[in-house]
Amino acid sequence: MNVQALLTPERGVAMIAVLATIMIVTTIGFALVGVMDTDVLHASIQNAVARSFYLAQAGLEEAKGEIAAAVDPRAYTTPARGVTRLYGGGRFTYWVDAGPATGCGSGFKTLEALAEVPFLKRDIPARVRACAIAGSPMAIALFGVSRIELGGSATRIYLAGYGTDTPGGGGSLGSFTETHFADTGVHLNALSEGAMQMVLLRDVGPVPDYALFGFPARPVYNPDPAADGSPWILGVFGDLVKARPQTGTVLNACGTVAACVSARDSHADLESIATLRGTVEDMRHDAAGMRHVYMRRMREQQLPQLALDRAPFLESAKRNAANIMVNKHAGFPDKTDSVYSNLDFYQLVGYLSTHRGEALQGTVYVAGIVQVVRDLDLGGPNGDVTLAIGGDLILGEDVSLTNRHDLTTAAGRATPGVVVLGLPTPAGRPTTVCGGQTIHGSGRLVLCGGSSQRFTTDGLLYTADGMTIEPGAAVDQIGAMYHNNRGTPNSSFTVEDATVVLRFDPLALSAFGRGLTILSWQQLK
Amino acid sequence: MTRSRSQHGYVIVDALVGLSLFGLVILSIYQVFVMALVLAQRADDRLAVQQDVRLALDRMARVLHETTLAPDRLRIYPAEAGCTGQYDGCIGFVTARDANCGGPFQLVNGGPNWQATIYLWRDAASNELRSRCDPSTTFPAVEWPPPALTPHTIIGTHVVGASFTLQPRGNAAPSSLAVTLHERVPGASPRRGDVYLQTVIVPENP
Repeated sequence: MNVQALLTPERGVAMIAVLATIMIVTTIGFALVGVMDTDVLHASIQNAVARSFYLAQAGLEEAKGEIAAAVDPRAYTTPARGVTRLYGGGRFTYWVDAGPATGCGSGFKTLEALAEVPFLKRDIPARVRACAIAGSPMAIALFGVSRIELGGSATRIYLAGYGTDTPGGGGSLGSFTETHFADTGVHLNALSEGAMQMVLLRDVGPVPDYALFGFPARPVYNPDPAADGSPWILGVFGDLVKARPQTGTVLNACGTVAACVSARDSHADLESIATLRGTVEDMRHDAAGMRHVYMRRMREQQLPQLALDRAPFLESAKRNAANIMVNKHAGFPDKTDSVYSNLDFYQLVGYLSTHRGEALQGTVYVAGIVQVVRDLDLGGPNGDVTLAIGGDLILGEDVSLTNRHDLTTAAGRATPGVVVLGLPTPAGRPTTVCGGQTIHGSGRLVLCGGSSQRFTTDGLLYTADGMTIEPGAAVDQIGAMYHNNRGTPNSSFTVEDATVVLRFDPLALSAFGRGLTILSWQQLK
Repeated sequence: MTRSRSQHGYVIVDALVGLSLFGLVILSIYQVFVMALVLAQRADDRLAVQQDVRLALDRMARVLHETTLAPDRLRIYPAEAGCTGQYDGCIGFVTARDANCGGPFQLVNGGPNWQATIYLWRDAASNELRSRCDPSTTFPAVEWPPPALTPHTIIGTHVVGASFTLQPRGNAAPSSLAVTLHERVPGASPRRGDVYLQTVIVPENP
């Protein structure tokens, strides 16, 4: 071989070295880029997963908005294929009571949303589901537009849940103006504090009070707020809701924008359950000493003002021909509807009280102020009566009123129980009834009390101008209460030395036919 | 033109010098390559830890999204409550899933029907993030440790720190839960091998 011939063109040697170097450096570069690329890929997958989750949430929000905006939120459904929207670089599909959106139970809305974010030729999914109550923008067991007044050392109030299985489900209590605890002896959800306490329920008889909340045995907790400001059982109860209206303001004695919670002779707003329950021994200047009051927490919530209109009830009663036979037997042979004057109603009550096997059905509208003076069972144990009073309703001392529904059906649970709507134009001069209570047809419900008075009702209990419970009365309700005030200075709800057992069923609030409230949320994927 | 005789030796020297220089260049490139390999290995380890911490957070996210901030249904255990020594980042909260916290979400009247309590904590000895499902109660224990922490599931490794904080801080009605996980690449220094992941989770149930 001629070496000289090979070495003669020397310039190529440097080129080979440079090319080799470039190749090696390029290889290293590619290796590093590969590592970084994997990192970026993993981070991108994570980002896509997170985006998919939030897209699914956006789908739920869209579904909520559509339901709330519907003319009848309770009837709103989507097609089985769902509603798909492109959004945020991906897409979501939502279903309402259609397609895969099932499982929340009869009467409740099932909302489901599936989000898909495209990434590397595949879709990264997330699926969430919520259960809701359509027809009500809130899920509060007892709500008063104006003041709620809880007084009397013998007062026992339980705001439990209906159908509670494991411990939990307590109902909330709220007002647009003030929730006032007038007496340190008021017991609210005080579950067998010192000794076992029994409550009498219409369906199961006497049961320990803790069973209302799903406890299989008496919970062991320290009732002394000085020792334990937050007993561990608080989580089973509902909230004290300091509500404020979505539009305008509602004045209250505390001077706060939202409703306040106050105690004893003060209108100072209390900020927490611990403060409400706190004792003077706590050395807290604002301790209220309501040591027998157990609620989960206080919270503010903005809510629309709700009201029931008399027209649908009146129309429904006019169309209700189910009581023709009862009318006939009670002395109204030609009456085909279920609209009564108060005098007609007294005649009907007289007949029903002597014929226990007979019962009313459907919507019954009574025009005028009604004072019930003898025990009355409107519809039997599985009824469907809505008693609409176009005036005030007064239950005389020791008089019991029963209006039970068939609670095995969603329709039975959603049917309003007693609605006290008031006169179209209240009377000018008030009339004094029991306990110094005055009425003038504004839509008040007064329970005159007495040790044998029991007011048993299901579904929604609505008053246009509030409810008063006098000493000794016992209320046993499965449903919800909403008490308006019709612009009067009356409190929306007043109780004095009485017992109230309210097992909250959110379906009862669907009678308002407005809005939507989410009750639970779960992630399926 | 022809080369002179003296020019023959110069070509060999030239080639040797060239080869030597080439060898030096290759050696230096090799050094760079070794460094790159080390860096790649570190990046790989770090990546594995990052993936680990992301997976740990993914495993926690659903159960935390599905729980509630109601008092006494979610408890964060500070050192004074017993979360100290071998325990770190201790939290307990309810779940509505039955079948040992992995079954269907249980409902009652449209609302969550709480079924069990889930405890999460970091075991300081093993640097594992652990999860325990306790179906015997729907109330997290008041003090740490709860009655039983076995059997448990390992949802993260190399976790050298974990913390849970309710937000807004100090508010009686918190609205979210801040989660911080701190992992470290095995054998690495804190400066080079630490990975932090912070996120805020909103428990969606009332």
